[in-house]
Amino acid sequence: MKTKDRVIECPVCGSNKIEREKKETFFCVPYGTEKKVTETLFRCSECKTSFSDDKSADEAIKTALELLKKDSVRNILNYFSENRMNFAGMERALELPQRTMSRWKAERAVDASALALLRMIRTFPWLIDVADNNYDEVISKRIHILRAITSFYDEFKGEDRVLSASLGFRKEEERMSVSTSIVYNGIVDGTSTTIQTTPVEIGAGL
Amino acid sequence: MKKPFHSFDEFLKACSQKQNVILVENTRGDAQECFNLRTFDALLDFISNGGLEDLEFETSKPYDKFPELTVDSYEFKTQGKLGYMAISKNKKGKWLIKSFHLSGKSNRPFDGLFKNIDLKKLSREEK
Repeated sequence: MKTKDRVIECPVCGSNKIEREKKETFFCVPYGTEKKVTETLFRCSECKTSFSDDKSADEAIKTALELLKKDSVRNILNYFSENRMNFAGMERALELPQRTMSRWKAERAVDASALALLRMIRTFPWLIDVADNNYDEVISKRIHILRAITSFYDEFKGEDRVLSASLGFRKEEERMSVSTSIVYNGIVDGTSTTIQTTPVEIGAGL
Repeated sequence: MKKPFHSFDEFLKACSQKQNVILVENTRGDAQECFNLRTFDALLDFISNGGLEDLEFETSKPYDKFPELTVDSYEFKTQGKLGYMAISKNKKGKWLIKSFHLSGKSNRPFDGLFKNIDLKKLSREEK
């Protein structure tokens, strides 16, 4: 098979009896939308191997991903605004230059590391609190555990099947036991987990 | 001890130069779906940058669709996922990545994280 510039050969058997087909793939990114990318696939009539023109496929995908990432940045920053997360406060905690986030919102273009940071904070907004406490290890763990407990109860609050949910901690020396029990319509489903840890101050202050 | 048919070092070199490497079958789709490696460049960068942790050679077998070529298969780890890769080299010296997806063996997420945790499920009977 010939394209404009070259003869297409099967990379496996070397045959030039190649069929062309179109393949549509949908791409999405975290907190973004979805885009369709159409690729050209080749299939060898002899050995039935399929392959693609990697360079042109990559170009189409990269273009789609750039657009998706811009949408993702807009969505994340809008989420922060809608949830009254103060940009100046976040920038202060993260030690970013002031007005960084406003600039990201206006331009909708951020580099990969900034996008990773935005996604982390969007997923776990309490990381801002961790940063604001100078990433102190003990305080960070307390924040993490407190948020986990809050999420645990939020998860089951109001669910019709659940009659009650409880979470208990027991700490002995360097082992911490966490027990959870959830009662669904009179049937107890309990798990007990023992975690070997270095001593962590929990309790007061949680 | 089993040895791969093809030189893995040469394959790595080809990946780092992004020359003479071709993705065949559903390698591109699987790399995207299983490992978030969405482009040809991303996949080759990952491989050549040491992304294949605890790489273990599995077998050498004839290529199912073209037995004149030999396929080397490997298992690797990346961030708690167990992966499978199959490579070959065609008669013109071009490397083919035939497969790049999750291994068929146990692939529970967070497996390594749980090795220090004693999990005990309480049942009504045990209570």
